[in-house]
Amino acid sequence: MMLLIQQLINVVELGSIYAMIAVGLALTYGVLRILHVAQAGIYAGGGYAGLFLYETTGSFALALIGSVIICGMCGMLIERFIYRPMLPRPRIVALIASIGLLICFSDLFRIIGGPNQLSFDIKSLNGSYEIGKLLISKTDAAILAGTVVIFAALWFVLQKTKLGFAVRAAAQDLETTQLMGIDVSRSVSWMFFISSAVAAFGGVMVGVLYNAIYPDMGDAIAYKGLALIVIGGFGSLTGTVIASFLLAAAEVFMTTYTSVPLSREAIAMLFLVLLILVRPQGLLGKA
Amino acid sequence: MGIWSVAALGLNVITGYAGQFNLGIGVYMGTGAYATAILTTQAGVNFWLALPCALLISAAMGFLTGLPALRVREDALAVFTIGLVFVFESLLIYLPYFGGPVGIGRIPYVGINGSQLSKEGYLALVLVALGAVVAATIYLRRAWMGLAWASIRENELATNTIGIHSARFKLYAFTIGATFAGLAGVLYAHFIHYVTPYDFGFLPSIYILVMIVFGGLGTIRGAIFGACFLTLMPELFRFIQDYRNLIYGAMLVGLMLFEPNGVLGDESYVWRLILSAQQRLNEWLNRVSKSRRAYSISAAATNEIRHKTPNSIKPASRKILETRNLTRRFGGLVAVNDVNLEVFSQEILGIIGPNGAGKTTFFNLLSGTIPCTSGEIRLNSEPIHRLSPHLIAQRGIGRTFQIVRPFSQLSVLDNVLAGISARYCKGFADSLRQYRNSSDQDEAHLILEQTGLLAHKNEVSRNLPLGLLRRLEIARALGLRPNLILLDESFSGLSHRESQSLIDLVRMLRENGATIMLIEHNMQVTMKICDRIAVLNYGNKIAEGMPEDIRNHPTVIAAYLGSAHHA
Repeated sequence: MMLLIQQLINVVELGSIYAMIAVGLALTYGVLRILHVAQAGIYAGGGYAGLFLYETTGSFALALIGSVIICGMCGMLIERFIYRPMLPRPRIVALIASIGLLICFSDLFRIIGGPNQLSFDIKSLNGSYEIGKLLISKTDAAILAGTVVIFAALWFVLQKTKLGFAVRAAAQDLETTQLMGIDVSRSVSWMFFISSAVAAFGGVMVGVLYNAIYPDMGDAIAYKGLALIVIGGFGSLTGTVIASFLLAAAEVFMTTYTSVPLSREAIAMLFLVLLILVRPQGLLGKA
Repeated sequence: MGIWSVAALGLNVITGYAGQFNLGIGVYMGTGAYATAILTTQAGVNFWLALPCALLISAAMGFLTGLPALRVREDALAVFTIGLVFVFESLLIYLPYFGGPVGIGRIPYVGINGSQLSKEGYLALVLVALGAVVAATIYLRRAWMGLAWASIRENELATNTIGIHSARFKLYAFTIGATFAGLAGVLYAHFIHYVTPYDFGFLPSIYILVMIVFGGLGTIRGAIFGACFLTLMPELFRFIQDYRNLIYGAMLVGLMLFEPNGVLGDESYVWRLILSAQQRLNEWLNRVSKSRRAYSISAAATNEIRHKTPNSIKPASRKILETRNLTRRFGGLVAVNDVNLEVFSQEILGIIGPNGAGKTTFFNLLSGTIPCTSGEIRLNSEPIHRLSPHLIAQRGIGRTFQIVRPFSQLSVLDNVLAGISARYCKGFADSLRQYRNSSDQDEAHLILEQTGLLAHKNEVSRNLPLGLLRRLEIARALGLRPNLILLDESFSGLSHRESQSLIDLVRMLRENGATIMLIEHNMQVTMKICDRIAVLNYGNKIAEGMPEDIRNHPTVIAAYLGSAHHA
């Protein structure tokens, strides 16, 4: 029973992390129709920045907030200087540029941070809480709490603020949104800020959770994220989130309870391939 | 280097020519490589026998992966192929038969008549293979197959409405491209003598994609140049080995920003330099040789073609098209509601109605571009509402689009030839015929003459003004000699003079035996040219009859109240 609870917690954590990346990808795709693979680079960057800030300031909160803001701004810069000039081009141009960026980022982290895994150990998060008969590690609790906060914030911004409204409108119909007098380029910039910030949050969380930050950490998740937005259905945020949790559940339970010899990436991709065969528009996508 | 060129050319067929973004080319290369590896090491098969087997298996792999790829949208296709290559790599690692992560080793050298091929000999073999692939690619590009691919790449929707079955040609592209890549895999295996799953995974696939984009997407020279340059580069930049990936990534980004067509692509700085130098050379040469013969159609050929067109006069009351209870819903919105319409042979029928009345949706239903929710459509009493657009086009319905969809990078002549091609591409063998031979050209030229586009035949259609583009769409639709032509707002945006000459064209088409339905907002044109008019509003047919009756019809006037166009 304890094992099951622990696994469920793992699923929620993993699913949230996937969702954080995938939602950013879905938003980007919705508005600009670009597959922003480099998002994973920002995710890894978030991990590195968070580690660096924690080691210099000693405060986890500061590290988290700092990393989120820095990466958010990086995201905005990428949009402004790299993606925006590519908008009139065929879409593969942006995709290749994004892949190039991801490669750059990975190598940059390798050069700056060293090719080995770095440890991200937060002293204050050692130990666990006791709730009745359950034992939840402090780390898990912190991550769960953080996830809730982030998703609540995201939901709030998207649903309840003018900015969020503009972003959602732009994702549905860019041209009309412009005609309505909304400054789309500003909304797009903010949207990149938001998705990058969320990705950075995910990066920090993952670093803490697995106690490891390494240059390639973006790679695995980059392509999973793409798979997730396709599985969820292009243009459907809810679908993407659902897909994230489903995938997390599949991964956790498959690796724990079965001995299928596929790597975790392969599981995601297999899921993707099978789903497309059956339902090409994704779970909640439009046909 | 040659090996990578072959692989790059394979991807070029799929992505460059047919426009299908395949990010997992490693799958096909790996199939070829592993096939030959297993055959030669474990089954002890001779290389020359293993080679064709491996090629067949690669082709089959291309076909099999192409089938599901047909069902996904453009962006999803890229992700789907990424998924494929990851799964492929994992299967190679974990299924025991393939040797696991260590791969298969001790792949034998290639031998002829018992003696082993030297390094130079192997290079020769690779070059021969490369030459064969290049020749095949050029041949394909000049065949109807290549034209079909170009059409699909430019505008898949329009391609289907001129009778080309896009799915079939996409499958051809996948299969052929996979075969080339498989060949590359085979050559690789016998060169390195060792294959591992990681050789054919996602990163190598991306490298190959980068090769063709770097060199110039869709061009043979680009694929080869890209392959060579990117294979040589690590050697040239050995001194910055440590920063290799960083520079590589930065190069990708920079290239996309500044020269997205690739170094040798059609619009790139480098290529244009080369072309202008070539042009100056040509001019110099021309001054010392005779000028070329201008193309002209012989009178005999013209007569022959005219005799082949359908007879002009048919009984006027013959029904050519009929819709019964035709309905189309989009979720809660009913775009076309229970429409019953009859269209008679050789009449010009106008379809009018306020914006959003469902007129274009109606045309989309007729041409098969979207399926109907209920009801039926009968063409010459045969039901067509369940058919795919290319089949409907082949049965004699041609159409134009509200927002023009020409094959923009192709010339005017090529656009029209594409329109004709469906008649000649009945089978695989047919589509391999070269399309620049004389009889097909004659017919295209006749159509160009009829539509007044002959003077522009070699211009790239992207550069044409709107009036000519609309004529081009009509010319392209005429390729299959349709009995029913659907014109969707062909007169919008035209000057008075352009409209007048288009009216003449439409009347001429009718005289040659076609029936015309047109959607129009321009009331002057509609009243002038139509025999009968049907009016749609909110998806319902609210009136039908002669122009004068419609003009004074109270319901119609009420529907249009407030619109800028009054009858």
